[in-house]
Amino acid sequence: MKSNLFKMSLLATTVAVALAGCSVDLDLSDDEDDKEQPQQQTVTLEFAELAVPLTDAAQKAVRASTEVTINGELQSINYHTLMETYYKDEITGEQFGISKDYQDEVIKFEDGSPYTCTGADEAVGSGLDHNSILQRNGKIYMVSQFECNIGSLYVQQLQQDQMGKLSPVAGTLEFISQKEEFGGWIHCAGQTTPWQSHLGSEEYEPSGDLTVGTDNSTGDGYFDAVAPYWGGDMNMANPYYYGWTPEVHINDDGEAVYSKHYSMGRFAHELAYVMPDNKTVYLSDDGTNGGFFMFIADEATDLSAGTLYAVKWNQTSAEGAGAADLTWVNLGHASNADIRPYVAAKPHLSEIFEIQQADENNACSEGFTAINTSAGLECVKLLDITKDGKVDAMDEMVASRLETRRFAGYKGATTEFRKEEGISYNAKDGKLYLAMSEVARGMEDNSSNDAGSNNDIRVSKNACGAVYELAVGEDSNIGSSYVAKNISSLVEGIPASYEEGSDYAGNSCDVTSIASPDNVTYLADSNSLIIGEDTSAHINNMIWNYDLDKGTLTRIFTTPVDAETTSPFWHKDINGFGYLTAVTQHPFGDSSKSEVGYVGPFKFNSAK
Amino acid sequence: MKHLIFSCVVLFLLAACQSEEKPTEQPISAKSATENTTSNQSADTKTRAANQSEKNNENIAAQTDFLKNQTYTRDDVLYNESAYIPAQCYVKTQDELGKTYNTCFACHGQAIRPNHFNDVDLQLEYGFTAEYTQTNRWKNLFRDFSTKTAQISAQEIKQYIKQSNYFDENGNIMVKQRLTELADKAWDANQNGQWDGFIPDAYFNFDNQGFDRTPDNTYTGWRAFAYAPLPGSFLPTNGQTGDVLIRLPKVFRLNDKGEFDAQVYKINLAVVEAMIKEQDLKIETVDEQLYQVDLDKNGQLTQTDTIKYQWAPNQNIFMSYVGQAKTAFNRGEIKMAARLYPVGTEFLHTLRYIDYTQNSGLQLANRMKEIRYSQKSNWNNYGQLQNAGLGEIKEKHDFPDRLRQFRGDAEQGLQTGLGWKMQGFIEDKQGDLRPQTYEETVFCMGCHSGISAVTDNAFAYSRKYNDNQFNLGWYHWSQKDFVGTIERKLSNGDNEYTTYLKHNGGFADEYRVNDESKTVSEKLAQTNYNDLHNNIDLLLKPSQQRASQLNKTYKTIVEEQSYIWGRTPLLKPATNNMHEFIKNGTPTGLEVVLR
Repeated sequence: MKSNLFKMSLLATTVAVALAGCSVDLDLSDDEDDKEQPQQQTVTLEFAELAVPLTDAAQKAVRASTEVTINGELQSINYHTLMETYYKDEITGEQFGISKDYQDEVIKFEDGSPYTCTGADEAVGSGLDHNSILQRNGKIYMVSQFECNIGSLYVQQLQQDQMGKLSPVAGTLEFISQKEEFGGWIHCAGQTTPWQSHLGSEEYEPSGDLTVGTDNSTGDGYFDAVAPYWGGDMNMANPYYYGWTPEVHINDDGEAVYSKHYSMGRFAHELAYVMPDNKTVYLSDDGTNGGFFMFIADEATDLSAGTLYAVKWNQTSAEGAGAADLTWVNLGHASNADIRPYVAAKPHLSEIFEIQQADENNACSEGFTAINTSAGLECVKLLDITKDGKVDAMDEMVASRLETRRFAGYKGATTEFRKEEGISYNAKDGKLYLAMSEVARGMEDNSSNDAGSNNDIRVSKNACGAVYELAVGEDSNIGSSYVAKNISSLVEGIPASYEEGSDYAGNSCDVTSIASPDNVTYLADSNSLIIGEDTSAHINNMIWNYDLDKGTLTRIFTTPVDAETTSPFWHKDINGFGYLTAVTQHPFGDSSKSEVGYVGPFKFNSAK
Repeated sequence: MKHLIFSCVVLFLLAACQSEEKPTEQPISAKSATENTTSNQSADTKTRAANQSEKNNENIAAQTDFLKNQTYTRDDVLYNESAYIPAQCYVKTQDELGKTYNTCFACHGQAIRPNHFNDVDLQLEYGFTAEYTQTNRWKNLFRDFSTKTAQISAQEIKQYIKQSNYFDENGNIMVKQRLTELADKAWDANQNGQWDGFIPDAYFNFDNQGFDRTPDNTYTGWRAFAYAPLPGSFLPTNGQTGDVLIRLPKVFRLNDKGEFDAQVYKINLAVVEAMIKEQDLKIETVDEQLYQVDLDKNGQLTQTDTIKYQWAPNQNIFMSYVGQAKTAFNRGEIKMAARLYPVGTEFLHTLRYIDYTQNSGLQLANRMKEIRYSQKSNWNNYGQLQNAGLGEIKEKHDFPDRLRQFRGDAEQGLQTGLGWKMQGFIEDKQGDLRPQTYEETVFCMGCHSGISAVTDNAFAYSRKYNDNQFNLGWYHWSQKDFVGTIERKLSNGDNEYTTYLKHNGGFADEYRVNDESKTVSEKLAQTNYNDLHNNIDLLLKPSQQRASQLNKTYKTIVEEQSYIWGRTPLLKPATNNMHEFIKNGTPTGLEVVLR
């Protein structure tokens, strides 16, 4: 049942994406006359809008738009499972999803079960979150990341047959050790970078003020769950080990090479998204009172060093979810090598900032700066982290990376965003898309989350969320052609209160629009943005096709209650074939096993 | 990072499940409370207004046919979307004088693996992270039922509770027939023309080992056991009597030859008990040779009266079942782990009106208020359970306003999300047992999952009496009442009920309206509770007059079918001791009491 649901869900998603974004990619095998400018083909997309599921049966079912034509032509696509959690490679002996400790030994729970990143069988918990398909050395690799407190990474070679079908190559599943960088943590969304590496994310960073007590515990059960990684010894752990951006690339020998980019700062990384210049990276910060960050690497394709910026929202409109001009607060330059020693020294928050409570007027004492971040209102004073007798640029550099969100607030950047999620870029129009799961808390005008802070964002609460559009362009000072200049609301959810007895009673967001947007996916050269939901405000999560030209939403897919797909990612051209990969974490069936699969293959260059 | 548990929950093990009614005149607007951004004060005001209006027009509830709006599947809207959070969570922990009352500890404290819902924090502050849950929708606890109960004579209620609604005059299980026939088509949630849920099949006809027997004397598989009722609402003095039966899957009842073997079953139940409690257990003397299992782990197969608890799979130290379960376990077909039940384990838990024997002993009434049933449907290992617990913490952090959602329906039960399904039956307006509606079943979920007090989603078996107790704790309350039964000890050696009374101003109930218990408590305090330590009947048994009033009060709730407003019978409104609205994060002012 589960796989059928997932199959249908991916099918629908793909169909949507395919429909949405099916303009022709230039394929290397394309034998058209090179002299002719590639002609922007008109893609005709037609699909019937799905109704809102009303009956109990419909609410429990996967429903997808099935009548689809692409350029007037029906294309046959199928769903394929690539890997399930627990997949065992009998040759390498590795098992997909198992976590290992700081010595790369399999972690076992007291009941003898290996630490496998998967929830309870009835779908409570977390698991596989994202997979990147990489093309290197003439081969295809898949890097997978798991969203657990001890989060593992795996690499697997895939084979592609003549019809484009992908399948795992036996004997190639390998565990990717993260022991050189203190292990992995809550791997969330990810991206296949333009240079064919896997760029991940460590979300929900543990608080830096945790201290291990005599009972070998910090008292924070969530963080203490890393103990098995350190052989049970919490004194070997440190909160600053986690909350970074990992990257995996495949070297010329076909080996997975892992690194952790301390250069890009530490916060609740939802997604790191690289722009076409291979230098500019946007970083979303999931949670309450978060920032929005941009990193400019010194060198293309090398994220180990660069300058980090935090956005400042200069509001131009309070209408809807708001609009603003964006300026970027420079948080300074740093490299992985600069920061790593400070991480390795196992710092404590009290060594980075002195923190006091604000007074009853939310004001701070002399020498302290009021900030309001996910940790609430605090008065902070930067300390001499480097212990060289002065508070200077070096201390700022360290603080900018270890305590990025606090440092952004300290520097006057905006830390009022609420639940930033997916990011996608439309090169055709120079537009970046950013999903905000809800417009609330710090984003409201003078909410309690604004106490003592800038109150930069002053818009009305919208519990249904919004997707924003950001115009990007050249900024010579920053040194990037992909700097977001302004932001405006593109599409918003609509809070609703359906009367009892209404067909839609139970939905607290209007069923004709989005609710709690999560993943956004733009397929290159199209006018269509796919918006997925992760919501409780619609009885059933929906996937929407947003027509960027017409400004209209079409409901193309509804999930059963609780079912969820995460991290859909479009691989548009793998040896001429297109694939949409996605993970399902909470299948609506008897098993909780997360799995990765894809819909495809597509032959875009055969589309008329 | 705060540790947030999705349900506050205090004692409601017994308190049972609530229904999904949508009274036509919704007294408290659920939707407006959720969406109302202006909110807190406003929701509070509305609640007060609603309660006031209810007081002014006591008949409204009675006139309302709540049932017509109830459903057995998850309908679009519940009256109380957070019905899994019981009324106890809204108790005021301090009175006007600043005196504190801690009953929270009964459910919230330090979790023991593989339960990862540590919720000590809920003793310290009200953890209503979702704005919606800040409003208390258990309006029956604010109501005065005395006018209605005055209309019921003592004789009438006595007659009512003594009449069984489980057996007909021929000893047939009535609810079985009603379910099989689908007496109400609406019960057939999946609309396939038949009842697919649990059908009550116990005969409450126990042998001297606590085994339930059919009228023709065969085993039903159910076995009664004596346990220390959870302090608070579950104590008979607070409203009802009850019992719990356990049944393991068939393979645990069969010997190597595949025959039913009571001795095999008894040993396997004891092994499960040892695993659940992580302690050695006394059993009747058995010959290990018969089972080829070294139960006392003395290195030889001998006669023994002990199950020795030693379990450390990573050191290759295991426990073993006996009979066919042993074979199945060795084949990996069934699992065993500390504090987890085997898949297929069932609990049957009835709640009854309060009755007395001719000698004034407390006894379970023939009439059942409820039948509660749970079955372990899935095996989740320690890793999965930790993942689920941590996942909830992150979910609360990411989506604080999100409420718990439960899969399933009233016909086949709701899933806790942690391996169990729960289902219940409750009296209809006429007093016949019917399946609980969806919302009434949601009421079960918050106590049986997501809190530290449960052992694998269950309460009673880990609180079972055993060594040195009558029949090693294998008896039904109808075979022996609470007289002479000792108080259960907390992990620090303190007596549980005594601790509860001391931290709750002498009241045995969370709502501090059981004045009789306070009087009893004061008397017990004179001997420093020594009398209570050796005889819990002194506290648990209400006076007959009180019992009669409790029975009448509950009966009025039955007549209204207003379970979704609260099903705990209170003899006076708990208005002074209950928050109608309480903001998330409000400190309780309590000192932590460890269990």
